[in-house]
Order: sequence, then C-alpha cells, then structure tokens
Amino acid sequence: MLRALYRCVLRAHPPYFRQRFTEEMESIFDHAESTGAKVGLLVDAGISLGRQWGLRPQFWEEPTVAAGPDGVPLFHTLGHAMPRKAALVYGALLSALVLNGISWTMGYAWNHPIFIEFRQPVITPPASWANRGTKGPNVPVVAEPPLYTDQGRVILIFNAPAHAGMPAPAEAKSSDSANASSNKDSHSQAPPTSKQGMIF
Amino acid sequence: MKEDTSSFLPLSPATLHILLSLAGEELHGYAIMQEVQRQSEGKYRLGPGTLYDNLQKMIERRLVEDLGQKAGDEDPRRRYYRLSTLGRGVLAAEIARLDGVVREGKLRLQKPRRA
Repeated sequence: MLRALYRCVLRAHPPYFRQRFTEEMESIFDHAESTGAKVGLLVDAGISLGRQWGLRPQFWEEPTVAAGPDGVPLFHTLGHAMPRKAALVYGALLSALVLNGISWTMGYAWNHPIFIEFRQPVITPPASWANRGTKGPNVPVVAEPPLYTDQGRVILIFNAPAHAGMPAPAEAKSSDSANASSNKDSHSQAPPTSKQGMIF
Repeated sequence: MKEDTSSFLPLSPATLHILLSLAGEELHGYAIMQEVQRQSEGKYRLGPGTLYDNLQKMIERRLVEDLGQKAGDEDPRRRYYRLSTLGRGVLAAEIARLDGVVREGKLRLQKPRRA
C-alpha cells in the first residue's frame, strides 16, 4: 500500500527528474525495513514533489546540452528556463493589442449597413372609408398614395374626403385660426383636413 | 579553461556532505545517504528527495558525474556518481574556507575576554 503510494508520488514528479531518479528512489524505499522509515520516505517524496514543481522549473525538461568527447559542452543555453519579467509584460501588452485589434476589426465589419430591398406596399383603404361623409353614390373615389418607408419609419399618407359641410382646406386653415382666437376656452375639435398622415 | 571555484562557495551542508562522501570513491545514492550519516555520526540524515535534488544541481553544474548503472550490481536500478575535477576543486576550496573559519574561531575563543 505504502509502496504504491510512494510510486504514485514519484510518478507525479517532473518528467526529467522522474526519468532519471525514480528507479533509484524506489530502490532506496525497498531498503527501508520499518513502516516508520517508509512513512518518512513518503513524506520526503511529497516535499520533493513540491520542490521540483515549485522551485526547479529549469529541470522540468531535459537540458539541451550536448557534450563532446572531452566533456566540453558543444551547446549550452545560458538563459533561464523561465522568461524574464519584462518579456512577460511585453507579451501581455502585445496580446492585449492584438486582441483589441481583432475585436475592433470584427466590430467594424459588423457595423456595415445591410441593404434590403423593401417592396412598397400599396394600401387600399377600406371601401367604407371611401364613402364616409359623402352623401351621394357618384362621389369619385380618390386613389390613396402608396405607403412610404423612411429609415425604419412607415409613413402612411392618405386622402380622407372632407365631411359634408366642412370647409375646404384653405378655408379651414383660416377658420382654424379664427376659431382658436374666438373659442379659446372651448374644447371643440379642429375640423379634419383632407390629407392625413400617420407615422408608425 | 579553469573555472573559478570561489563562485560556488559557500556550499550548503547537503552539498558539502555529498561532495565529501564522493571524495573517496564513486557511490550510488543509497551509499551516499549512508556515508553522510556516518560522517555526521548520525546527526545529519539526508532523505532521497534532498539527495537527488542536490545531485541534479551538481550534475548540471558539472561538480559530479553520473556514471549510470553498473552491470553486476546487486540492485540493477542503482546509478553511480563520481566527483569531477571541478567538484574536487570546489570541495578543496570549501574545506580551506572552513579551515580558516575554524582557526579564526579557535583563536577568538582562546583569547581572554576584556572586561
């Protein structure tokens, strides 16, 4: 049980250390006779695990040193395994800039207006509207203008024939101002004009 | 090219004991642990984690040479280690430094204290 646990802890070590020393450490564990000594070795392996991962990043992988016949290294890396702090800061800054650029480009692409051709529907007013306010059947029906769209708004302009007895638009305009001055306190509605529009 | 040994000094107790145990002959890890215990009369016990961490560093700094496994050994998993020329020089420099410390210490302790 303890041996299996010890083996697991050794296998969790960085690859280079594991490849190099695991067998020998297992051999030492096998030499331990008492359970107390084995527990001690287990604790030691746990500390070693933390030390190797936390404090020895340069030994996580096999160093790239090739030695010549006389023991002189043919190639040696002088730099540290971990990048410099300044390099990390520059890297973070560069990443932020690139990400920002990509986001801006995508935003610019998405802001392009999409042109969709709308058909202009022709709305014919109901037949009852045509005869509204008319007395005789021979009153000509004026065709309604088509429906217009203007940047998302829908403007409906249609001709509503004036009620019988109502003044013509020009007259209504003058009488409106007169009415406004004379019947200031009254709540009488303004007479309908011949052209009405609705914006939706 | 001769490397300056003073850049390695002072050595940590574990490094000093390992170099000292390898000064006589090439040894495997378990034998190094036993030798360190013998040298310190049981006062300093080196665990395998500390031993191999130090050996790794010393091999990388070329103070110790890894000889690999030996055929005919009772346990074929054992690897043997040997002190390099540089390691021997560093050990000698550390012993000389400690010798100076001991002499100075003795001298100071022998002098009567001034009131």
